[in-house]
Amino acid sequence: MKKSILFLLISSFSFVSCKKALKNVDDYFVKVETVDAIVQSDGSVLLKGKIISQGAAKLEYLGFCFSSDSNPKIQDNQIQINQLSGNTFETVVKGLSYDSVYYFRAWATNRYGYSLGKTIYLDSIQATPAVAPCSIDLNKVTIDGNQFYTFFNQTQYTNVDNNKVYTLSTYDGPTVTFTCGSPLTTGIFQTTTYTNPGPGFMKISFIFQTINTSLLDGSEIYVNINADGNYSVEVCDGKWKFTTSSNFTNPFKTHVILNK
Amino acid sequence: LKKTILLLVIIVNSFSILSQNEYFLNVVHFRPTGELGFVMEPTNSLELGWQGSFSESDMRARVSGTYLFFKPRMSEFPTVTTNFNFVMQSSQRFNHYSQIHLNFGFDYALINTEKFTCFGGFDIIAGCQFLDFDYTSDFSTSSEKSYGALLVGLGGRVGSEYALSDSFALGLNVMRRYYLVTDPLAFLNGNQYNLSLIFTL
Repeated sequence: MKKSILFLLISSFSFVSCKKALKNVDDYFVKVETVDAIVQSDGSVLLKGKIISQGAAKLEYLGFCFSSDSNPKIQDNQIQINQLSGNTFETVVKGLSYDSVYYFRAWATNRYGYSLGKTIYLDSIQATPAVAPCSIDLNKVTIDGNQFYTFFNQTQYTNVDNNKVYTLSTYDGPTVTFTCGSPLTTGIFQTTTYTNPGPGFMKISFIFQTINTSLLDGSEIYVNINADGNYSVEVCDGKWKFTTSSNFTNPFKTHVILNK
Repeated sequence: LKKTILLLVIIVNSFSILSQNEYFLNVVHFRPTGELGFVMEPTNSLELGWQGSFSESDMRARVSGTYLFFKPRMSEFPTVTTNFNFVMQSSQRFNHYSQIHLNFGFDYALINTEKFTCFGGFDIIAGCQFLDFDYTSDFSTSSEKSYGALLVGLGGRVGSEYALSDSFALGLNVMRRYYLVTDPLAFLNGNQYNLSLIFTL
């Protein structure tokens, strides 16, 4: 009897912890979906992905990849996502060229391997143009809304705060300096008086005769990236004060091309 | 392979001196489980062996051998390599995968009548594995061949047999196998379903 129990125990123990193979081999892998690729107003692309199923093991890595090849691989412009929101994930891709076709895919891995979502492609990615509510001749500037001067010279450098600084001169009018708080993209920026403007802001200062000042906070600057990569910058209603106690003068206006 | 078969014949013959001879031919259906089940399809094979008879004792020795040839479940497995958290897709393709299992064990009859026996038992498994696969990444394609990697493990079995005559019986048994393969190092397992044709000489 003892023997029979022993044999039964040994033989039955061996049937414990039997992990059956899954019927469909695809069920071992993560199932991931490329939900959408949406062009944003600033020309960036919002990518959305979704985990349909984690497969037979824990999720290890996930993200997006893209390339101008129609079959992007995980290693092509890899973007890793560290956090899921429920079972969805997203990211924003910037700096894509207007004249290329891009193919985007979501991807995910577990210890069994990787899987890729379907490919979504976008053509001619560009930002929504920032349309200025005025029409000013190119390379012109006025500080009082009446007398326009023509720019004849442009210099640029990067300052200690890593801001790009453009200085444009006129023959007999103001010298205007644009200090960009972030790389220029198509969109509406705002003026600020800070010397280190920050993303989305620009300090516009000018020197004319005895006037040495900058535009006040909150005036709108319309920036568009031209086909050649240079920036078209327009200001329709730049506010400034002659002295700290004076009221607003006539508006500062300009339309200029800043070189890339 | 020749050496393995020769070894099996020697072992079977040396055991057969000790007891009444029963030779069996198993029609095997092997279902890989765990990691092996992810990679390989279930396979069918034949198993040849010798076992003692329950007519003299409730315990019997048993020796058998089988060759398992596996087909991969995918023509190409999508694998991943990482380098400082940078993920790269790659692929693995199996060109050949097979194993030889030699089983040495004992069965104990839980029910033992003249016609019908029901038994449990265990085996010590030894054998070898033959593996050939290609690994392809963006940077290279490498081929790995591993012939004759050692395989050792244990198996548990339950089954029953029914004697159709003095010299012929039919049996069914189910065996669970756990075994370690040395190259590449892996702990594998699977379930083996056997339909036995047993001849008493």
